[in-house]
Amino acid sequence: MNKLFECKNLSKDFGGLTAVNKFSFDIEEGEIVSLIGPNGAGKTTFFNLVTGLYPPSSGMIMFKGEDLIGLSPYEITQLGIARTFQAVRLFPDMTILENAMVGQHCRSKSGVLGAILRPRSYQKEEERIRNNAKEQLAFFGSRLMGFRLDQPAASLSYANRRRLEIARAMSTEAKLLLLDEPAAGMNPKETIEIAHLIGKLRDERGFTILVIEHDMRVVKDVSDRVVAMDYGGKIAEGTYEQVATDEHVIEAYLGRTGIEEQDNAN
Amino acid sequence: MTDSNAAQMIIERKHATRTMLIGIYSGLVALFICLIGMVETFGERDIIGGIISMGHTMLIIIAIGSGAIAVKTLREDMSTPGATINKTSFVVEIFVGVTAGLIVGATLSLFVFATELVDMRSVLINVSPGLLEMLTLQKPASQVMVTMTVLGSLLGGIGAAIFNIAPRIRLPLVLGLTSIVSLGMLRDMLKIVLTREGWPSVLLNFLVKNQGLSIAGGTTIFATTVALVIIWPHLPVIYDKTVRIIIAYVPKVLQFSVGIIFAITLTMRVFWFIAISDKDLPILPACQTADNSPDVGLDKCISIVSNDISTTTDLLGTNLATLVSTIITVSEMLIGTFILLCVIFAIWNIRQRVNTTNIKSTLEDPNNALLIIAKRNISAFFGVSLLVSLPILLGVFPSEVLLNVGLYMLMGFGLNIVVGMAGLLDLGYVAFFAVGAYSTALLTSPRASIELGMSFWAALPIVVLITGATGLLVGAPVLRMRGDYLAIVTLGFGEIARFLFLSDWFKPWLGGAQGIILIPPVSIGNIQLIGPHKLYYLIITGCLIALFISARLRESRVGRAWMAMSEDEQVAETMGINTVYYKLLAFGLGAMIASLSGAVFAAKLGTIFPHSFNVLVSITALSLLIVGGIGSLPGIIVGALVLVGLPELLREFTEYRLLIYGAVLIFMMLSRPEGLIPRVRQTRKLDDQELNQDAWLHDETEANNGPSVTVT
Repeated sequence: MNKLFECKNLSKDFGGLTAVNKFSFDIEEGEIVSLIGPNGAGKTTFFNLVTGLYPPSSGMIMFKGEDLIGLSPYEITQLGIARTFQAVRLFPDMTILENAMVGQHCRSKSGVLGAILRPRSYQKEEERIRNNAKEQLAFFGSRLMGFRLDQPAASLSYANRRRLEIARAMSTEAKLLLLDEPAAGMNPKETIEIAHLIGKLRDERGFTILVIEHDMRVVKDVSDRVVAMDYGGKIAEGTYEQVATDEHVIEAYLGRTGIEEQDNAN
Repeated sequence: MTDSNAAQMIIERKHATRTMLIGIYSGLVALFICLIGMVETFGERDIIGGIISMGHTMLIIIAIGSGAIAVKTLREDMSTPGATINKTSFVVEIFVGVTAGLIVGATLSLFVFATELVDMRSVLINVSPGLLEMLTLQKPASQVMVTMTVLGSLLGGIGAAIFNIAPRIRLPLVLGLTSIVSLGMLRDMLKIVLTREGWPSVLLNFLVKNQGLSIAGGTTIFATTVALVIIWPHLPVIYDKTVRIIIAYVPKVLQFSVGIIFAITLTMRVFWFIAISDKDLPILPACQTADNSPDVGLDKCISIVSNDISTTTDLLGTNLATLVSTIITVSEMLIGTFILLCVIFAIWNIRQRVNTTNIKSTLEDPNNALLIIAKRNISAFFGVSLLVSLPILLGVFPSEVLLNVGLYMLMGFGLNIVVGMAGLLDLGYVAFFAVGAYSTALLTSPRASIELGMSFWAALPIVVLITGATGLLVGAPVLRMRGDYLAIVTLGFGEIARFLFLSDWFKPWLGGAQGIILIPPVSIGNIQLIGPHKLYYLIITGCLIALFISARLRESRVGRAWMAMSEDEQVAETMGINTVYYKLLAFGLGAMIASLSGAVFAAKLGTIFPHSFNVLVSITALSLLIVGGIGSLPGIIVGALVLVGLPELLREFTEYRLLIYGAVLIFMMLSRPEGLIPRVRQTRKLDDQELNQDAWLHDETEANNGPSVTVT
C-alpha cells in the first residue's frame, strides 16, 4: 500500500467509442512517469478522468488511499492532484501573479465577510497566498517576476504561458502533478530546459509527476518509468529502453508495416 | 516639386463619390429629423435667447458634421496601404467639406421648394407651418434656397477647417461650444437650481434670458470652459504643490482644527436640511410632466410632505432649529478665521524658513508618505462634502433625478457582481429588485395582507435575506448554463416574477395589479425621510456601501475565484474552485444588493405596482454596465449618470427619448465598445520586452542549430 496513485480497470466510453479501456496503472511517491502513445490513444482522456472532468464508465481510481470516483474536480485538486492542459489554458485577463494566486484557492479559506471586513487573519492569509505564488513563479527564474507580476497573462509569450501554467499547478500544493505535453510547441532550447525543470520539480520541490509527452528526448531524459498507451489500453510499461524497443509500441507508432520494414532491415 | 503639388490638388474618383454620399446621408438625416417633428419641437427652446434655437443648432451641427466626417473618411482612405494618393492638402480638404455641406444645404432647400409646390401636410403631418417658418424665417422661397445652400457649404467648410486646426486649439473650442449647447439644453434645470435660496439671483439674470441663455451668459460659459480645458492638465500639479505647501508650512493643530470644524459644519448643514428646514419643498416644476412609472408616487408624496412640514418642525421644536443654525454660523466664522490663520502661518513660516531641511524634503520628495496620506484625506474629504451637499445645492427636482440615478447605480453594482465579476449574463435582474420592493412593502405597510407594519429598518435585514434566498432559488436551476442560454433563461425568470406579482393566485397577499399601497416612509428617530432630497442620503449610503463591498471583493480570494470562473470555468474547477458555490454566491450577493435598491424604491413611492418591474429595468441596468465598461466600478457610476440621469434631465423631449437613446447606444458600440471607462486590465498592451525576448530566443536557437526534434 505504498502507492501514491493507483487505478484499476479504468474505462471510459463516449457512446460507442471506448477512449480508455481497462487501463490499470500505479505511481509511487517521488516517481516521474511518462505516458506516451500516438494521437487519440486516450492519454488526455485519462487525465480528464483522474482530475474528475469526466466520470469514468467503470473502474477505480485511488489517491493516497482515497477513492476519487464521484468527487468533483475541485475536491480532487484539494486532495493533491494538479494538472496543466495540452492547449495552454490560463486566465488571460488576470495578471500573472493572480493566475498563480488562484492556485492557492484550495489551500485558503477566507470568505465574503473576511474579504469585506479584512480582519488580521484575512490579511495574513492573503500575504501567505501572495508569497507562495511569488515563490512558485520564482522557480522559473526572472521570467515571470518583477514588473511582469502585474501584467495580464495574455501578454506572455507562448513558452512563458506554459511556465505560468506549471507555476499555477505548483501553487495548489499538490502531491501529484499531471503535465499534459509541457514541451509541445517549444523550440529545442526550451525543450531541453523543460526536461531539466521536470527533474528539478521532483528533486527540489518533492512533486510526484505524471507527464504526457511526445518529444522522446524529454521522455528519455526525465522518466523513471514509461507507460505506453494505445486504443485506450496499456501496451507496454518499463524503463525508456524497454518501452522504446517494445514491439507493440513500435507497431502503435509506425504500424504493422513499420515493424516489417524494421525486420527486413535487420 | 510641381509633380507632388499637382498630386495633392486632385482626389480620386472614389473619394469624390464617397464625399457626395456622405453629403446625401447627412442631408437625409437632417430631412428625417425635420419630418419627424424633432426640429420643430426642439425649436421651441433657445440655446441663446432670441438668437438661435435648438432646432437650428441641430441642423447646423449636421452640416458641420458632414464636412468633418467627409474629411475624416478622406484621410482614413488615404492612410490605408495601397492608396494611390496618400496626402491631402488644406485646399482639397476644404473643398471636400464644402461639397458635403453644400449637398446637405441643397437637400433642405429642395425640401423647402417642394413644400412650395405641394402640400405635404396630408401625408407628413409634421410638415407644419411652424417647421417651415423655422426653415425659411418668413423669407421668399427662392431667397431661402440660395441662402441655405450657401450656408450649408460654409458650414461644411467650417467642419473641414476644424480638422486642420491644431488639437491644442481645437479641443477647447469644440468643448466650449459643446458646453454652451448642453447648458442651453439644460436651461430649465439651470433655472430651477439658480432660483433656489442661497444662489445669488444676479447669476440667474446674467446667465438666463427668458427662452435660453443670454449672450453674455453664453460668452461667459464658453470662456470658462476654454479656461478649464487649458488649466485641466496642470491641475494635478497645482493640487500637489498646494498640498505640499500646506503640510510643510501650516502647523498640524491648524490643519486639524480646519478639518474638524469643516466636518461639524457639514454635518450640521445636512442635519438642518434633513430634519428642520422644509420650506423649499413645493418647488417641483417637473412633477406635472412626470408621467413615467418611477414617478407615479411623487405628486402624492409632495402632498404628504406639505402637510408634514409643520409637524416635523413642531416635533423638533424651534429651539433646536435656532441652535443648529447658530452652530452653523459660528462654525463658518471659525473656518474663515482658521483659513486666515493658516495663510498667515504659511507666509510667516516661508519668510522665517524654519527647519529648512525638513520642509525641503516635504516639498521635493515625490513619495513622501505624509503627502500621500494628506492628498488621500483631502480628496476623500472634498468628495464626501460634494456628495453630501448636492441636494442642498441643487434642490428637490435635481435630487429626484439623482435619486433615480442612485437606484439604478445600486442595481448596477449588484449586477456587476453577477455579470462583471462572475461572468454570468443575467437578463432577469429586475426580479430581485421587485422581490426587494415587494417584501419591503409586505413587511412595512399596515395595509398589507399580513399587517405586520414593521419599520423600514427592522424589515431591511429580512428583505435582504428573503431576496438573497430568491437569488439562490433562481441560481440553482441555471447552474449548468452559460452565455446566451443563461441570458434567455434569466430573461424568462424576470418575466415570470412580474407575472407572479400580477397573478390572481397571489392577489390576496400581493394585491395583483393594484399592488401594495401605503408603504410608510423611512424614518430615522423622529425624522421622516420624505421627498427625493432626503432619500438621496439613503441611496447614496447604499451606493457607497455597495461600492466598498464590490471594490473589496474584487481584490480578494473570492474575487479571484469569480474572475477565474468567468474566464474559464473548467480550468477554475480543476484549480480547486468550487464553481457551484461561487455561482450561487454571486447570484445571492447580487440579489441582496438589488433588494436594497428595491427597498428604497418602495419607500420612495409609497405604493408599488407590478408594472414598475418590467424588462426595461433589467435592460437599463445591463446597458449602464456596458456603456460604462463591464467590470469597471467608475464605469458603473458614469454609466448610470449618462443612461439614467441625462434622459431624466431632458424629460420634455420624451417623444424622442428612445430615438436618441438608441442612436447613442449604436454610436457607443461602434466607436467605443469597451465602454466609457474600461477596466484597467483590458487596456494593457502586449509588452515589448516579452516580444524581444522571444525574438532573442528564436535567434539563439537558429544560431545553435541544435538537433531537430524527432519522434521515436
